Order: sequence, then structure tokens, then C-alpha cells
Amino acid sequence: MKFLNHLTFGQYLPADSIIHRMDPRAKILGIVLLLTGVFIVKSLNTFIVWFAVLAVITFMSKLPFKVILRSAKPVIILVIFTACIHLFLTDGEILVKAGFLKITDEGLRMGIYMAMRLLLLVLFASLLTLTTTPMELADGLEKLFSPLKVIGFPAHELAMMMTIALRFIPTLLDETDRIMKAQLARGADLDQGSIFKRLKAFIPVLVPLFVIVFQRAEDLALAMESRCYKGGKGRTRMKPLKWNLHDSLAFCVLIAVVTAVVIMDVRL
Amino acid sequence: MSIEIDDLTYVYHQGTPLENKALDKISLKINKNEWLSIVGHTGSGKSTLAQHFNALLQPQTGEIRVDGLSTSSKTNVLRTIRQKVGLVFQYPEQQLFAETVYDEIAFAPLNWKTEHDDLDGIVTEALYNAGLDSSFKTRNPFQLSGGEKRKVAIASVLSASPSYLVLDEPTAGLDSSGKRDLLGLLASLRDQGLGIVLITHDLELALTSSERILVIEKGKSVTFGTPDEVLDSLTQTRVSGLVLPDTARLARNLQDTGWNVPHCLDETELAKAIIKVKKT
Repeated sequence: MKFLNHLTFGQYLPADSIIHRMDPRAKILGIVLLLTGVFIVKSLNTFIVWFAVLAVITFMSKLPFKVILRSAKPVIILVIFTACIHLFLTDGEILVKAGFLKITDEGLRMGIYMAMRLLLLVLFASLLTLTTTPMELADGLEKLFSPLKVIGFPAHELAMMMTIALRFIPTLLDETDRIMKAQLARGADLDQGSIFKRLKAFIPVLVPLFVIVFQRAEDLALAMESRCYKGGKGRTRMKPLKWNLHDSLAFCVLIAVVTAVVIMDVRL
Repeated sequence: MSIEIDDLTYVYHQGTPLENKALDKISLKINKNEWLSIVGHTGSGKSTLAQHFNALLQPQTGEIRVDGLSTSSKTNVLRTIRQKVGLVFQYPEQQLFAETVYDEIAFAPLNWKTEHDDLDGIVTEALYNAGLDSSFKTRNPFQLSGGEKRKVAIASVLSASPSYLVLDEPTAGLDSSGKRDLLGLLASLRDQGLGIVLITHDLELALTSSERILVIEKGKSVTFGTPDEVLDSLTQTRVSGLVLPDTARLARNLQDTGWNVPHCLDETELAKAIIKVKKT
């Protein structure tokens, strides 16, 4: 029996590739750029190009395609739901009609658009998190947002909160898994009966989980304080981020690709 | 009546770069009325093995039979298996959730059967078997001491009246008297007819308390046998991360320098052997 024994969605997978070695800032900006591109384009053919771009980057990251595709699994229902809403509820020239359901040409187009956009969004985003450690990701975001510190934006604190949250997702999944198993071993029935019954059956999981979470938070706060953590001011880094030539190159290539695709899309 | 494990293999994250073989062709058998210890270093796969005993994990290859019931079966059989095999997780006090010790311990029996003629009797007996008296029933489990919490957690598994009890590092974090209490408790449960599976990293504890020992390293079975057999084989081959008890180590060192003394755990026995060699 498997409970939460799967890899967490988008969890970092180590590999020795140029994508893994890139500066996180370059990767974050690159993904933002790509996603902007994905949301600008209007023609269906262009989505094929985006998937090709995704495939090329995946190939360069040396990760198995299966892993990337699997990261779309948790959102597949949302994608289908969104596509259906657009498919049935958009006005336009009616193609098929059955009772109160109608499919219009505009609806068909919008449905496919939304599905493609959502899929690409998730796939590109998981490509980022699969090739970047949570630590690098937080560092990158902190650096990117640090100009805003001037107007009082808490860049360091947000990054620290993000790191801690990301750091604890696998731990808490493990804990949940362990407690669920412990209660199953005591005969708890977690996946049968009505919704109300199931919710009630989860109390023996939730109570210990809350106890553990607060305990951990307290321990962590104490550990940080005892190591003199006082926020971001004056804090230096053990591994400062380094923007290399290949980051600039990769970023330029991406700008070129995205611009080219968008221009192509306008022409089509 | 026994639990039989045949050729069990289990791999985490199969097919990804994080693939990790936790168990590799493990076979063993444990009877009721018997105490088996599974000894291994951190990461040797012993906790993964523990979860196979009551079908929380199902074999990827190989088979496990609990009193003839396969853990690879469908849901209904699994519930029967989970009732037969009580599993006490590491730090079991973290699973406590109820408002009173009574509710905590009544949780398991009520899960398997909603109506009981003598629930109070079951709870009292479980408390007694875990080494607590019935004055605990009305107390809040979260306000007990660490050792008491652990006993309540063990009682909350015993209350399902299992035929086998699997414990994952039950002595972790207990002081020496708490440890001794717990081992005495397990011995008396075994004498009442339960099959005990103790999972531990403490070789000395396993050697002194159990009838059979399985030593695993990186998911592979290193030796399986009686304490004497295991002690013999471990004096010959070293297993990383496992430290022989002091007396056994001394005996081995003496043997290495040509002394004719047996492998043993008992200081007195070793001392007598040394005196005997000295005299001749």
C-alpha cells in the first residue's frame, strides 16, 4: 500500500547538467520570460513550438521525460475542468448542440488554449523546481527582490520563510505518512465511508500532526536564535550566487527564442 | 502459527534517480511464543521491513504470510492481518491524539469491532500489560511523562489483542530503567504466547533478550540464527556500524592473540575461561 510515498510534486532531482548548474536568477527570469511568452501567443500552432522548447530544455537538463510529464499529473483534473468550462460556456458559432450543452468554435478554441496554457505553466514551473534546489531558489528570489528592500520590502524574510516552508514539505509529508500508518496499524479506517465519516476518521491523524508541527516550529526557532539569527541585516553568504557567462548566454538565447516565437505567432 | 517472509525485496522511488533498494531478498520466519530481533545500522532497511509485517507496505517481490494469510491480498484480509500483527512505531508517543488515556487505548478495539462486552476490562488489561495501573484511565495523555506516554502508546496497540507485536526501536530515548522495564514487559508478553519482533540497532540488547536474530546491512540479510550463532558469525565477519558487546569484543581480542576462550556475552563465564587458560 502506498500512501504519500510518491515524490513530492516538482521535488529537486539532482543531475549533472548545464541547466542544473545555471544561476537560479537566470532560471527564474528565464521561466518568467517563457511563461509570459506562453500567455501572449494566440495561434494553436505556436503551442507546438512551446512544447518543442520544453522538450529541448528537458533534454538539456538530462532528466527523464517521464519525470517531467509526471509532474503534470496533479493538475490534470484542473486542466480538464478548465477546458470543459471554456468548451461549453463560450459564446460563438455553434458547432454541436445537445440539450442545454453546446459547443461553439470559439469555445473549442478557448478550451484548447486554456488546457495548453495551464499544462505549459505547470511543466515549465516544475522544470524550474526539478533542476533547482529550494535553497538556490530562495537565494535567487531574495536577490531578485532585493532592490525592493529600499521601499521596505522584506525580501530576506520572505525568502527565509519560503526556504523553511519548502524544507518542511517533505518532512511533514513523511510525518503525515508515519502517523497515518501508525493509526492504520491501530485499525483506523481512513478511506472508507461518507465524507463526514472520513473527515472524522482523520482526527487521529490531524491532532498528532499539529502537535508535531508546533513542536518543530518551536525547536527550529530556538535553534536559529541560539545560532544568533537576527534577520537579513548584515548577513553574508557562504555560497554567494555567481552569474556566469553561460547564464548571460542562456538568457540571451531565451530572449531570442521567445521573441522569435511571439513574432511568428503574430504573423500566423 | 507463524509469520513467514520469503525473498522480500523493496525498492523506493523505483525508476527515478533517487531509486534506493531498501530490502534485498530477505527471508525469515517467526513463531508465536518467540522473540525475534532484527538488528541493523541506520538506513539498513529495518524500519521498511517492520512495515511489511502488518501489510502497511506490500511486497514488491516475494511473499509474506501471517498465519497463512498473504499480505499481498485485498483490503479485508489486510484488516485481519493488521489486527493480528500489532505495530509499535518508533517514538509511538507521537501518535497519541485522544483526550483521555481510556479513549486512546479503546481506539484500536473499537476500530475492529464497534461493540464490546467488556471494553473497560480490555483497557485495564492493556494498561496492566504495558506496565501501568488503572488510575491512568482518566488522565490526559499529553500531560504524562515521556516514559508513561510510550507505555500508553504500547498499550494502545496491545488493546487490539494482537498475536504478534512488532516494535521499531522501542527503547529509543528511554533511560536505562525504562529500557529494563520495557524489555521485561516484552519478555512477559512472549511468555503469554505473543510473537515479539524487536527492531533495534543495539546488538547487545538483541543478543541478551531474543531467541532468534536477523542482522541486516543495506537491505541484505547478513546472518540469521540463534544469539550464539549470530555472535559466532559476527566475531568472524565485521558488519559496519554494529558494535559487538564489550565482553564479546574482549573475548575476540583474546582469541586473536592466541587465547583459547569461547565467544560469550557473560563476564563471569569469560572470567572463568580466562582463569582456566591461565592455570593450564
